Parts: sequence; structure tokens; C-alpha cells
Amino acid sequence: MPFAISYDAVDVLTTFATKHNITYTLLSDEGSKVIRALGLFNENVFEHHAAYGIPKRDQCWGVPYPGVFLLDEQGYVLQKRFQQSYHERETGVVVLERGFGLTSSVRGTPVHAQAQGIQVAARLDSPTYRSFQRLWLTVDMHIDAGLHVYGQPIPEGFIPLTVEVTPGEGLIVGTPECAQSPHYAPSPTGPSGGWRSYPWDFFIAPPLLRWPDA
Amino acid sequence: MTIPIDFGIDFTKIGPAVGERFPDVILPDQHGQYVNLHQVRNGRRALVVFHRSAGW
Repeated sequence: MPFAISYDAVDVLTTFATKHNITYTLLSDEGSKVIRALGLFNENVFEHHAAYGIPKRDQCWGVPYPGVFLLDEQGYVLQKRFQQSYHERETGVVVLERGFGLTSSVRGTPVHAQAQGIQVAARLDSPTYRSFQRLWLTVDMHIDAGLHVYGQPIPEGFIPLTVEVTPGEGLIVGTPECAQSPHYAPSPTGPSGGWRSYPWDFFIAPPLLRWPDA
Repeated sequence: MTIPIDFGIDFTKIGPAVGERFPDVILPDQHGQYVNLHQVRNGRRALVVFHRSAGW
């Protein structure tokens, strides 16, 4: 269940929740006591704003580093998701899928491609884009049994797998993550004493960010 | 200037760490009712979002 914490007074949260039809819990940490106690108070907010050419505004003093914590059933921190730039926001989809390992119902529609022995499906976290959102482009790949995927270093004579994103105005492509699909379960049984390869599912996902003035 | 700027912030050292219990938080919600985060969670997983402001 979601909780959102900011330094705003209750009446500011009431107005915001009404305007945007927010039904989840917004918490008012007026005076930033919790933000400070948890070590999230951004003491460098004016320097960070200045670096982006934003003039000093006193009302900004007291904000936290924006980001999210994922808690397990016992209340322990499973994951923290923060970005260097306070502008950037991830989507709810990435929190559900990469954070909690669930499948979101609102992820972007995949496009499919295939060649001999490999099937590819590429999708964005979301079918729409909002400014400064960090969307992951997830490229899911399924490789048939008998074909192999090597990690680094690549054996000589092999061609590295790459994902290329066509440049676009203001589009920033971040460092990709690559991992075996969480939905993949290797078969526990197989002929012993010989090399055997199973069908293999994995993904490569570079984050995409559109910066309006970049 | 490279955008976004890398301020070199080490987020592993900012706020509760992965594996730690998230501290008790009791704050008023948008209706003015006090909410005890862990109590309301009631054994469920949770997402705690810290954001800058809902007012500006």
C-alpha cells in the first residue's frame, strides 16, 4: 500500500488530493521533522537548484531527496529507488515490476520480432510519457534450447548482443540493466553427464529519459 | 553541462538502508487524521514515497 510523505501542511495535501482525486495516504511532515530524522533532508537543495540555473527560493528549504522505499511484510526495506537528479521520476510500473516482482496491468504494449531461435518483445513501462519520467525500455528475449548466451568476456569470434535506441530530441539513454527473466525457471531434471542447454529468457533494459531542454 | 547532472550523491547512505527496518512514522494525513504507517500497513508490503511538495 502506498504512502506519500512531504513537508506540506495538511490543508495543502487536502487541496492536492481533491484536485487530483488521490485516495491513497498523503502524510504531512510539516517542519520536516521525520524527513530530518530519517536522514533524507536535502541540505544541498540550493546548490542543486543553482547547478540547474534555478534561483534560490526559501520555500524549498526542508524538502527531502525525492525517492521511494519498498517495504516488505515485516516493514524492512527491500529496495530504495532514488535518482541523482531531483527532476527524475520512475513510473509505478517499474516499482511494481522491478521492485515487487509483480506484473503491472498498465505497462506499455510490446512490439514483437523474431529470427531463427530467438523471440524478442520490447516494451516501455508506460504507453504515455510525462516530462522527466525515467521509463525503462525492456527488451525481453527468449532463446531456444541449443543456443547460448555468454557473459563477459565474449568468446572470440562471437558477436555481442546490443540494443540500440534511435536518437531523439532531448532523449537521454541511460546504462542498461541485464538479467535473467524473473519468470524463468530452469528444469530441475535433465540427462546427467552431458552438456545440456535449456530455453533461456532474459532481458536488457536501458532507461530512457526525455529532458525538455537537452 | 551534462544533463542530468551527477551530483555524486551516495543514496545507500541517505535514509534507512536496504535490510533495515523502516522507522516508525506517525503523521497526519490529508484528512487531518494521524496515521501510524506500520500499524495501517497491517502486515502488508508498502511503498513509501518522499516527494518535494504538493504545493508548488
